[in-house]
Amino acid sequence: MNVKLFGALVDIAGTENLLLQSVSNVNDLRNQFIELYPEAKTSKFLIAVNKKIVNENYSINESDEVAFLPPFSGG
Amino acid sequence: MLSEKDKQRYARQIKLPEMGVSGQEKLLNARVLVVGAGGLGCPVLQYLAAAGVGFIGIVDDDIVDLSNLQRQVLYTEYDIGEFKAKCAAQKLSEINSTLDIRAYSERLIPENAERLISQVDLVVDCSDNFNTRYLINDACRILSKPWVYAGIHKYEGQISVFNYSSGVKPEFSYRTLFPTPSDDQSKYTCEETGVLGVLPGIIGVLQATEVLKIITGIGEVLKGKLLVFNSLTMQSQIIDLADSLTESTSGPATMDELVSTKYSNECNPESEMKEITVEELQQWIDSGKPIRFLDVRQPGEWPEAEGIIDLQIPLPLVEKESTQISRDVDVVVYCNSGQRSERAIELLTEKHQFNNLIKLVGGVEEWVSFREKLL
Repeated sequence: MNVKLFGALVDIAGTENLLLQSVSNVNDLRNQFIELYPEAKTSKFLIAVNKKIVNENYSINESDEVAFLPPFSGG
Repeated sequence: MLSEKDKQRYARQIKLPEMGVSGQEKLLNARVLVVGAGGLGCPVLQYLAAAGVGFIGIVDDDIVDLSNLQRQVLYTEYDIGEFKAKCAAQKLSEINSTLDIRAYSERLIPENAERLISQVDLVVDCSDNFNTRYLINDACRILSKPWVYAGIHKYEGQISVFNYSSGVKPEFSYRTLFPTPSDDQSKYTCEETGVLGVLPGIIGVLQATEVLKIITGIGEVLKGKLLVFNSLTMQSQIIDLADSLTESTSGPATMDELVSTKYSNECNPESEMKEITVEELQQWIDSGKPIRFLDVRQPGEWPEAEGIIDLQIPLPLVEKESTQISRDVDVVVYCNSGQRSERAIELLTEKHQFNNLIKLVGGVEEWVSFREKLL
C-alpha cells in the first residue's frame, strides 16, 4: 500500500510516496517503515488515515490513504 | 470609535460585510505576541501591522544576518548586525504608526514567558525550534491563551491553532499531537536545513490569516485541524485531529511548575556567541554598567577606539595572556570589523572557559562612524 511521507521522513526515505507491504493496522505499518529505515526509529510522527489522525492499532485496508506526518521545526 | 483616518486606512477591509467597523475595532483593540521575527515572523508581522492589530509584541533575541535576507523580507542589507525585534518594530511603525509596537530583544524562556504572554490575547508561534514550541504550548495552556502554530521544512509547511476555545470540542494542544519532543529533534533544528525563500512567506501569511479570523470571529479557524502544504506540488491538505485523540502528557500545570521545567535549548546556547551593537554599547556605557574592553588588533592599528580603550592583546597572543582578562564583569571584545574578535572569543570560550565575552558587532569601524554621527 502507498504511504505519503512528509518533512524529514522524505529525506530519510528519499521519496514522498512510499510503497509498503499491506498490513492490517497502522502500528504494523509504522514498524515496517522503521525496519526499512532504521534512521526513522527516533522520529516522532503522526499517522493519518483518510485525512484523519488516528491512534495506534487503527485498522486499515489497501484502499486507505495513509500519511506519516512529523512535526516541523523550522521557522 | 474609528477616526476618519482609520476609516480611510482600513476602508477595504471594513467594506467586507463580515468584518465591518466592528471587526476593525476588534483588530485595533487586539493584543498579539509574535514569537520569532524570522522567516515566518516577517510576513506575520507585516500583515498584522497593516491590518491594524493594536498591540504587537515581537520577541526575538537574534540579529539580522546576510543569510536571512533570502526569506526574511522585512530586513535590508543596512539592517545586518541589528537586533531583529528592534529592527522589525521600526519597520512596522513605518507601515502603521498608529499602533503600539514593542520589541523584546530576548529569547522566550520559562522565566519571561508569563510577563510576555499574560499581556496579550493570543500568541503566534514563528519560532524555529521545538523547545520554544513546547514552551509556548505549555504557557498558553496555563494562561488560557490561544496560539497559532506553524512549522516549515524545506518546501513544506504545516499550521494549526491550539488552545482556542469556541465550542464544545476538547481543546487540542501541541502535546495532543506530539506529547514530548522527539529524540532526533536536535538534528533538524541545529543542522541548518535549506528552505525555499517563498515558503515561510506562504505559511506565514496563512498564519496571519488565522490570527485575523480568531480576532474578528469570521470564518472557520484551523482548530482541531492540521493544514499541510507542499510548495513543490502546490498541494495542501487539511488533516482532522479526531476527538478521540487524548493527551498522554499534559506538561506543567502552573507557571511555577513551568519555570522549573527544563526546556533545554538543543542547540546549546552556551556555544552561541554573545554580541552587542554599537548603539547598545553606548546605552550600556550611559547606564554606568560595569564593563571592560578587549582590543585584539595589532599594536598601533587605526582607527583609535575612542572611549572604549582598555586592555589590548593582539589575537595571536590572547590565549597566552588570557589571565589578564577579567572573568567577573562583561568584557566587550573588538577588532576593526568583527572577524578577529569572533575568533578570539571562540578560542577563549572553548579553551579557557570564558563565558563573559561579548563581540562588538561591526568592530571599531562601526563604533567610530556611530560616534561621528552623534556629534
